[in-house]
Amino acid sequence: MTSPSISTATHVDGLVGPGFPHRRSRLAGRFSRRFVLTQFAGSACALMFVIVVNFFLFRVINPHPERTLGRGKARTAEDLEEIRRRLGLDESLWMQFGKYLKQVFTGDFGVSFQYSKPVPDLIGERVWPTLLLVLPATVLSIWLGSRLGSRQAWKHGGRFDRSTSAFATVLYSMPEWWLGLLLFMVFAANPVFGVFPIGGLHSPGVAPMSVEGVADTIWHLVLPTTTLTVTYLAEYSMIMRSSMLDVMGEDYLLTGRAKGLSDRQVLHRHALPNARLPMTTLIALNLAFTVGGAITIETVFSIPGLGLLTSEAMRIPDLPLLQGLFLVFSAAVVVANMVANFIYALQDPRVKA
Amino acid sequence: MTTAPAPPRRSSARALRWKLRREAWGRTWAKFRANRAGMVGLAVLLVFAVIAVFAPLLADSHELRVSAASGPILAPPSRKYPLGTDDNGRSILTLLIFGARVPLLVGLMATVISMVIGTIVGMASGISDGWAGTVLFRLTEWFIVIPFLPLALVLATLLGGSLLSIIVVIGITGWPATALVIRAQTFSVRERPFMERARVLGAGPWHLMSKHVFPNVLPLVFANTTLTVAGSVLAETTLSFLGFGDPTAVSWGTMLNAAFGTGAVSLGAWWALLPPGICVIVVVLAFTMAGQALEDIVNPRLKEGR
Amino acid sequence: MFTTSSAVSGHRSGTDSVASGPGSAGSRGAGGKLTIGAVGEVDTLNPLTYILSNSYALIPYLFEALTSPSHDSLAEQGPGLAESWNVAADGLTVTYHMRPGLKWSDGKPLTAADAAYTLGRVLEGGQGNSTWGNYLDNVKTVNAPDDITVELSLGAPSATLPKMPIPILPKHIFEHYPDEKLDQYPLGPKSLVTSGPYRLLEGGAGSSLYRFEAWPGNWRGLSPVAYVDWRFFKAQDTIMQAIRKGEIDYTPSVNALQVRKLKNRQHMYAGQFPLLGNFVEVGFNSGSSDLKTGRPLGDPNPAVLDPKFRFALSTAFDPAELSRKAFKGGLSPLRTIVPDGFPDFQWKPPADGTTYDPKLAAQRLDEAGYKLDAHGRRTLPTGRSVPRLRIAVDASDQSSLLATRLVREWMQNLGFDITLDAMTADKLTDEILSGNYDMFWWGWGFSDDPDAMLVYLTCDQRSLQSDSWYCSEEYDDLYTEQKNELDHDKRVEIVKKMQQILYHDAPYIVMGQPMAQQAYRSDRWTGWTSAFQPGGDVMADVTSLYDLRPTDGAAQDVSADRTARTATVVYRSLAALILILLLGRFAVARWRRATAEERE
Repeated sequence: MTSPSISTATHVDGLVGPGFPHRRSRLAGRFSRRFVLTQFAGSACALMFVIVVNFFLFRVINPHPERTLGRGKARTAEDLEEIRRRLGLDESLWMQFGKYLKQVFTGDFGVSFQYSKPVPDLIGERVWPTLLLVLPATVLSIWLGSRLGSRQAWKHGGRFDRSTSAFATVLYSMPEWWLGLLLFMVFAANPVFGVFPIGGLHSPGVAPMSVEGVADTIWHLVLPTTTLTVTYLAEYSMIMRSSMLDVMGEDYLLTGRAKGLSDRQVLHRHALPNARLPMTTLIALNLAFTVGGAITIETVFSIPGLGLLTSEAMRIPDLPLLQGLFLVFSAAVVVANMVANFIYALQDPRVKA
Repeated sequence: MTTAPAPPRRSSARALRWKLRREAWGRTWAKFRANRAGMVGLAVLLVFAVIAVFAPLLADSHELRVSAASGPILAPPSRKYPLGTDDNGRSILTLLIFGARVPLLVGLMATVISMVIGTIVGMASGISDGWAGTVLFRLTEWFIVIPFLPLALVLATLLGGSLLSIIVVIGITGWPATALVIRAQTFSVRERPFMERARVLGAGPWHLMSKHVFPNVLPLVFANTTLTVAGSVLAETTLSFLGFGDPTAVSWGTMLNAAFGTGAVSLGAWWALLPPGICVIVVVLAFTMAGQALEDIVNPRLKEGR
Repeated sequence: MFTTSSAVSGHRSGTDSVASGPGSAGSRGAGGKLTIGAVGEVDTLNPLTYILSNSYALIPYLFEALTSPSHDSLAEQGPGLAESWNVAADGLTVTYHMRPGLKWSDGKPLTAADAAYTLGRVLEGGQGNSTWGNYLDNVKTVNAPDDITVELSLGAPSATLPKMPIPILPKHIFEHYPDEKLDQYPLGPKSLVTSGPYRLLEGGAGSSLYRFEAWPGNWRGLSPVAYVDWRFFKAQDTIMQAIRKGEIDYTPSVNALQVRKLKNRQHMYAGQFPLLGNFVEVGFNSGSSDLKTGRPLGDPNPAVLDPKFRFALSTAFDPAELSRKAFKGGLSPLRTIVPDGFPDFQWKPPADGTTYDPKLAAQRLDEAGYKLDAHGRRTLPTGRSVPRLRIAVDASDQSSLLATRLVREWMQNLGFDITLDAMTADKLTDEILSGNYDMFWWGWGFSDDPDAMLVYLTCDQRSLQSDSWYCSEEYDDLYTEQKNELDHDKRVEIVKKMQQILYHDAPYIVMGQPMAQQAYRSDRWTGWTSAFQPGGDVMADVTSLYDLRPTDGAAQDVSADRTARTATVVYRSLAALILILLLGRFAVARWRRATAEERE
């Protein structure tokens, strides 16, 4: 998905802005107890909120799952009652909520309606394809995006800047799944150029754990990862470019030049470390959108990850599974936010750490 | 010696304020006109708005009826169907023209919802120092944590696939980002001297908010709105593509959904995929460019960044 | 949405059966692997708890039942674990004679005790009952007087017996898993004790690949297809590419448009056939009511409650157009709820009820009092204009959505104001059960016997499986009568009469019989044999595999494979090269930068 606006990231929480020159290593490793506590408490509250929302949201969607499950099979009122009893739907809402809370805290997320399998097992199986897809794409797009952005900014107004910036804006406006469809049509489905596999993660008959199997999986991931990387890259490069331009207006760069440092040294020692600050926050925030990207891209490329699992669960709707997935997605974002705050505190001395 | 009767003071103050405001808008417009990307974006938007509004004049709405469609099924572009036909034998060009209405309508309406919620929550949490502000801020943060697409899908399932529900879904999932921007801006407004003056003069929070904070965050709200529309249009397209849109409405997203669903990708029917996708990109791009131009004007510090 | 699943709830009849196996195993150990590709997923391989139809297709690979439906007719059955069976003259006792010397895959004997245990457990209630209970209607007790005899005693005759497709489970394992522990039942490849012609090598709930290996201990002997891979895809697009590239040999999951495209390719057969136990219909709320108080329930439009109104619409919708547009050619004509799978039971409606004739529909509406007013809108017999109608549909199914759009447009042409409500299947079920609907588009699929469908229109099924709230005393009486009628011809007459009643009361307007599509490659396997009808299902069930033989062109096949593999190697080396170049460039740049800084 797209994040709502590019510029917001530079305003978030009023934290982000041009900093003072520093080297990261000198400041690393010290957090005040208060800072740590606040961070953990905040994250715990956010998780709690998600857990509560989770329960009620899904009760409202489908108050009568037994009817769905019973269609074509349950033929008497007793059959339906039996299904209700099995799913624990015959108790009062508050009883169910209490049970749900207890389960969440004991790590028991129930059994999926459609797969009759514990939810954590299912999620555990399906999380790997998603990670394989999302992690490389995120890392690659951050790396390439920040390189591109800083290069644009360093020579801003030049031909390279103008052409690549325009291109990035176009990519930024593109739904990632549409790009995926195009790449799929040209490089997988087309009889001439279709050199890439047509979806999934493995070829049949190739042992996934062998050398050939790993190569095969990488081969399968080329198109989806490229799609995600390219779309995310656009956004990261835009942020990097703008924060780099901010930094370049600062006095300490002049000071650096005055000291006789070369352009390159100024760039790498002073400009880049400071310009990277807003990126940290953005990356964490973006995870929430990465989840969305996983859903659409996994749909287009038939990758059996959490995104597809979500849409499969949505169809039933498979309440325990959806709840589990929702919790995993939100928890991932909460934790990533917290980590980002810590990293941010490490990088930026002005945050009282 | 005769003096002209002095005009009533109050109205003069009001007239002055209006004059100032008009001048401010005029200045903004002048600055906007100087921004090439912004003007291009605006022009493109106007073109699409005209197409959407006058769609029935540009194409025959009767051609949208599946039962009346007489063309070949999923046929490539020809003289009779310049952009080919869809899987029901309808002209893609006609669909494209009418398909502009839903994304624009949903984008604008959803943005209104999220701007209203976002602005109110953002200003309220920015102005109040007490627990109310903290709670609102935390609430915003929590909502930002919930991944957009799964939440939107769940809500869309819950509310059923109608245009109104899509608008509501996108509207109520899109406000937190706005709230954060407005909150940050409110903070900076709060520190300005006139606020202190007003407070000393005994202005209540409501007065502060409506008379001092709001006019000052308004330009930013406006710029942010334009950018939010871009996001909302994308969201509408994505939801429709995933099959959670209004199935009776013709929109670019549902066109892509139908194309994907009938296997246009593997059948090589590029004419069913390219036109709607390109339209989405162009509209989103136009909103983004216009929005960025506005933002540059409203918040000159950012200007360097573009 | 993502997959265009069949519009039909229940099971797909095509994959529903275990056929009367030609016991001959053919060339023993001919070997080879057959890869099948399908859209969707498998929820579980537990025969008692599965829901999805894909699971239903896989379970017969692993578990045998007492009988297996024949490949000739949906209404008949062939031998399974039972060699023969007999039904007592009064229809109250059914006896199965099992093959002697059957074994489970763990070497334990498979006896009548296992069968009696399984059927008894289903009969008892619980999860097994909601899945399989309808095959044991009217059955009072199940006994195993000796190791090879299973005896059912009935309280009243049952129309579905002696058909008995309930998978027989190993008693010595399942005993340890009562219903509340059933989700702990180990379904892993190593731990699964089975009796079917295949053993599970790989795959669990929700996997995308299930691998099976032929098991010689099955009563049919060793399958000529040594290995079967079932690959589950998430989209039809990928399936089409997979079969084109030869990654799969057979698929039941292509759509009608793709069949057209695949048809002309070499070594490829692609076609479609009517699903013999399925139909799709426009359904009406013909009188939702609270069964306890008898008061009306929900908010149906007064028009749909009137049988004359519903009947008038039976010529208002064009099946040919529905087939062409909504189903892309994949809908075959049918106007009654008994589909082609049961030809003798099928009632032929009068000629003026089978063709699309909007004028006739308008005329019948006029006669029934639904006249056009000055604004071109239809009025109720009371003179008030017909309130806005609603037609509901399962949003996840593309063809259903399109069909509903067409129906809506035809209704508008007749002068009705009508909206389309697309929702999830369970929301739709909910609205139906609460009576908050006027019309809907949906479908049914069943096998075994028309009774399975006829029952859903009886009064007792209201607020359960009935989606029309239809209730007619006359129909109900006939239903009971046919259920107890042992004479086939007499029963046929009654069933036809019931269809006639339904046609005139029109709780459903049946619009056709959906077709299933299939595609297979003939370059690696031959002997594909159609079940039920020419051009029919070549993979009706696991028995179909016994007809297959590896081709002689295997050598040619290998060489083709080799070219493909060479191409792959070339592409991959190219990619690797590019990657290395990029990394190298990056490393050099780094090194240069580092040295440059040092130099300064």
